Amino acid sequence: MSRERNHSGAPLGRVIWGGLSLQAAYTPERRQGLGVASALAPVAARGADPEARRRFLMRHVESYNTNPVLAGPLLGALVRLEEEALDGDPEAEARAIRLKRTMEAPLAATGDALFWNGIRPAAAAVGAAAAWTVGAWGPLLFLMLYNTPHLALRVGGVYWGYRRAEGIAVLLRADWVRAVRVTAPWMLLAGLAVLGVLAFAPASGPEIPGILALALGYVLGRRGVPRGTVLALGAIIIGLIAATVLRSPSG
Amino acid sequence: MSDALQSLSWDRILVLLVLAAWVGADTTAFLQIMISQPLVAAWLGGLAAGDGPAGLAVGILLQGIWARSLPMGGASIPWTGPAALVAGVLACGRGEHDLTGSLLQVPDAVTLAVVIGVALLLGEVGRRLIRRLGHRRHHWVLAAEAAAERGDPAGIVRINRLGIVQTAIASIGLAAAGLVLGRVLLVLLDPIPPLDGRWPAMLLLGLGIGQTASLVPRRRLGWIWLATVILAVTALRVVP
Repeated sequence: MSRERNHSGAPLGRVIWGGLSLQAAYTPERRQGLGVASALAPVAARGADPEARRRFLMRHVESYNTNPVLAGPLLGALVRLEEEALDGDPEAEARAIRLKRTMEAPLAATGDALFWNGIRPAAAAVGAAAAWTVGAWGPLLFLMLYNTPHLALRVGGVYWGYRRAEGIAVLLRADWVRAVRVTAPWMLLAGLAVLGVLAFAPASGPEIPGILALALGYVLGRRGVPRGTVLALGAIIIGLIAATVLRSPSG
Repeated sequence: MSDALQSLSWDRILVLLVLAAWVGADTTAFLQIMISQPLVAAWLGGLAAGDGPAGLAVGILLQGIWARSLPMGGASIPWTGPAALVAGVLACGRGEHDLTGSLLQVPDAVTLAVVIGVALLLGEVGRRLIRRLGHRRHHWVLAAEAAAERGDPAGIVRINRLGIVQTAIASIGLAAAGLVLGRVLLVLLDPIPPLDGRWPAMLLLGLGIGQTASLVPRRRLGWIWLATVILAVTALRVVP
């Protein structure tokens, strides 16, 4: 069977569109299950046999949970295998189930580390540092830095996964994934260093309270307690007291 | 003290409603291009209400506060999108104090406390709201299973789309409640003489940068690099 054919006509575009709402009907019992079944619905709709369509939908409506960004290649691979199953390949159905189960946790772990704990905070730090000096370009830069890899995987990843089928496992060991995981912390530190210098080391002299708050935030963040909400409330209260006590006589 | 909320025209209110729906859905339900992150959502709120820089200043502060709220493994996190959007709107037109070395301005201390406090409250209420909505979707699961049994893919798609609509409506409701609460608090606290907003802003920003830096793996010695750069630049500027 040729690996280049797009057997389903044009359902990949509709699968991509459906994949963008993978977590819309998230429930604790099925997690992304309804989203996966919904994303793959255009492929199921092509099945002429009602029993095959029923089995198709029943196996995808089951509980599933992975990183939504890295779900793109997985959805593409599932489209490929499910098409082969609809074409009568007796083993494709079992291969699709096996692929889903084996890739669920690795894609979740890699995607969470890559995007939630890597690219997103790094892009936000750079965006915030840029916003400090060039205003509105900061959030736009953040969106661009985050969405370049995000949309590449979520949109382009479906086409890539469709061509690779079970071969999508190479994504977990890809050089670019390793490179991004190494680079993102440095990008984060660079953004924070620029923001820290701009805010706390101005030409008029260092902002000691801000630097102390930074050190406290780091230590408490490292220990994992308490939550940002509690810290922020503390900072507001101390800030209000400081602003009241140190108010200039003119008010 | 100018109050952008008082002079919001109907077209701006309409834009805000659309934005509230979008940033709410963007968190998990649809797209996830991260306009729900505080840096963007607060800026959009300020922009829609007529003062982008004020929203952006608040967005930078909130981005740091919620830096460690990561959805790792599907963890429950504050609903930052609508909360930051409301903060951006409430801060609009109230910038009084320059942030050091920045074009951005923050409101006086009391207003800033209200803006950030309302955002934190909405974030936590939103966290519980999202969790509760998820727990109440058992009948959706049954309906999706029934659709699957019938071999009806369109039925499952409809249920999934319902999730986007439900999340968007919840976000609009939360944002509207936040705007009303913020407005009431700002009116009640208006008689208090203005205090320098840079104090709480600097403390919030410092905590935010520190919290964000703590995300860097320990083996990379992130704190040493960060401290070295800030101290070196400070020393260079202090020593003539």
